[in-house]
Amino acid sequence: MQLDETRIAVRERGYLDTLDVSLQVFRAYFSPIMQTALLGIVPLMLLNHYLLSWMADVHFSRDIAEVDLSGMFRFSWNMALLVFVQAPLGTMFTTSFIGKAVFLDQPSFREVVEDVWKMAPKLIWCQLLLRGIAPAIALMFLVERYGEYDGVLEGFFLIILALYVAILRAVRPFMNEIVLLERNPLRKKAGSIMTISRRSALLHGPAGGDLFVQALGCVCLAILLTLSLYGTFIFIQGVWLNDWRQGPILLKFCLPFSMWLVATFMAVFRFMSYLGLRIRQEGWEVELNLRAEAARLTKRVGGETA
Amino acid sequence: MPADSIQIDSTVKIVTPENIAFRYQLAGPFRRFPAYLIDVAILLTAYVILWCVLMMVLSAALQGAGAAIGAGVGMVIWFLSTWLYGGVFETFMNGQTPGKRIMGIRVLTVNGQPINGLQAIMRNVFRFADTFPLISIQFFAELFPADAADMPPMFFIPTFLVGLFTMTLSKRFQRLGDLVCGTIVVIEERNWLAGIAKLDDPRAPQLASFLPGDFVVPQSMGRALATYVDRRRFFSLARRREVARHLGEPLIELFKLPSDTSHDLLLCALYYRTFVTDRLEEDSPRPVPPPVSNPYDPDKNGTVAGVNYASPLGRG
Repeated sequence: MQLDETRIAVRERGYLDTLDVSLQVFRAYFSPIMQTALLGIVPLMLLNHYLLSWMADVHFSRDIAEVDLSGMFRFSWNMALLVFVQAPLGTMFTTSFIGKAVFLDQPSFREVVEDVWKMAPKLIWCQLLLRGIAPAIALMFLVERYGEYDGVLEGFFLIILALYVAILRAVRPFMNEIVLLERNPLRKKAGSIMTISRRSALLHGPAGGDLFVQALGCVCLAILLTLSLYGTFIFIQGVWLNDWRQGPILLKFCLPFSMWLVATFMAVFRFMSYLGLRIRQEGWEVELNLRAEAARLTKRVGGETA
Repeated sequence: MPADSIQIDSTVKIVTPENIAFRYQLAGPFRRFPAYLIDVAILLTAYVILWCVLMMVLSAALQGAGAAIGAGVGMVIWFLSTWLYGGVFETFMNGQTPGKRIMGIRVLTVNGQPINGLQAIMRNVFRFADTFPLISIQFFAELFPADAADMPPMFFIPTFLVGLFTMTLSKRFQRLGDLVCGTIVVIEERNWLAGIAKLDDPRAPQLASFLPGDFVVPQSMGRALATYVDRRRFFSLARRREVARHLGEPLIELFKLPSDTSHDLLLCALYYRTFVTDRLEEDSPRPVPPPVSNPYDPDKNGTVAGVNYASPLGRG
C-alpha cells in the first residue's frame, strides 16, 4: 500500500466539489456501500417501523376528505427525526468501509465488520448515548401505541433532543470518523495519549463556524434529495396505478427508504468532508506524501545496502 | 492502489488532436445546480420586467384587447426564452450562461473544443428530460382537501432525478443533454503558478550546501518536498515537526547528520538544494567546491562544520 497513491484522490476541495466527488465515490463503490449501509440500517429500519408504523395506520381512502392527514404528518415527522438522530449509527459500517477504500481497492467486508465490532464500546458511548440515539428510541417506546398525539414526549422532548443532536452534529460532525478510523481511546491512560474528546476538540474547534454553515447546507440538501426521491416513488406509483395519493406502502416503506438512502449518501459526503478538513487543517495529503517517500527511501537504501 | 484501477477524482484528461494533453476539473451536478438557479432567477426577473412593460404598452395602445394580446405575446416570449436562453447564451458566450460565468464553469466538447450553436441549443432542449420525473400538484393537494376535487393533474415540480442519476453514472458528469451533444462542463481554474517557495530560514541554504552532492532527489520526492515547503507556513510548529519527522528521520540517517537536526529545516534544505541550487548550477558553470574535510561528520556539539542546525524547538 503506497500512501500517496490512494484510490480516492486526496486533495483540497471546496464544498460543492466535495459533494460532486462524493457522488463518484458512491457510484464507484455502490454495491459495497449499500451492503454496509444495509447492515447498519436494516435493524434500525425494523425498529423504527415497530415504533412508528402504527401512526400511519390511518384510513386510506380514495376520498381525500376521509384520509387522516394528521396521522400521516405525525408518522412522517417522527420518522424524519428518528432517522436524523440515528443516521451516524446506521452508517457506521459505511464509514469504516470508505475509510479503508481510500487506501485499498477492495476492502474486505469481514475486516469492516470486525473493525466496527472492536470499536463498539466507544460507539455505544459516543453515538448511542452522548448523541441521543438511545434516548430518542426510549422516548418513542414511551409513546402510547395507537394513542393520541403526545404533546410532551413527541412535541417537546423529542424535538428538544433532535435540536441538541443537530447542534452537536453541526459543530462536531466527524465523530464516526474519529472513533472508527483514528481509533483514539475514550480515556487517557498515559500523559500524551490523545483521547476521543481531545481529538474531536482539536479537529473541529478551529473550523467550528465553517462546519456549522456546512451542516445547514447539508440539512437543506438532504431534505431536497429526500423529497425528490419520495416524489419519484409517488410518480412511479401514479403512472402505474393512476393513484397519486400517499398510500400505506409509500408512507411506511418508501419514505423511510428515501430518508436512509439520502443518509447513506450524506455519510459518504461526511467522510469526504472529513478528509477535506484534515487536508486544510493538518496538511494530511502532505503527511501522506512524506510518509510514502520515507517508505520508498528506506526501501531504496535497504536495497542498495543489501 | 492497483495499477489497473483509476483514481476516483473529479478531473478528466483530454488529449487534443494536436496531441496536447489538458487536465480539466469537471463540474458535477452540485457545482452546476447553483449556476442553473442563477440563470432561472435572471430569466424570471427579465421576463417579469418585460411582461409588465409589454402589458402597459399594449394596454395603452390597444385598450380593451391589449391585455389579451399581451398575455398571448407574453406566453410566446416565455416559451421562446425558456427554450432558447441557455442555447443562445452558450453560443455567444463561448459555452457560458450568466449563471455559469458567475460560478466559473464552462461547456466544452468532450475533446476540449468550444461548443457550436447546435450543441448549445440541443443540450439545453434536452434539459427538460433531465428534470424528470415531475411531481403532480396532487401530491400537495392532499394537504388541502377542499381544493383537491377540482384540481387537474399538473406535473410541474421537477425532481431532477433523471439528471442526477445520469450524471452519477457518467464518468464525466454528463447529463442526458451532454451525452446527446458530446459536451462536458468544466471548472475554469485560475491557478497561480506557485514558482519557488520562499524560505524564511537563512540556515536552510547553509545546510543545503552540506547535503551529499551525489544524492539525487527522485521526482516523486521532489514533488513531496515542494508540497511540504509550500504548505508548511500554514502548519503550527508542532504540526511541522510531526509531518516533517516522517521523511526527516530516514534522511538524517542516510546523510549521517546530527541526530538533533531539525527535520523541518532538513526538508527545507533539501528543497533548496533541489529547486534552487541545482537549477542555478544548471544555468551557470559549476564552481569548484571548496575542500571540506567531512561536512557530514557531526561534532560533539551536534553541529555540522561549525553551524548549529539543531532545531530551537527540539526534535520533531
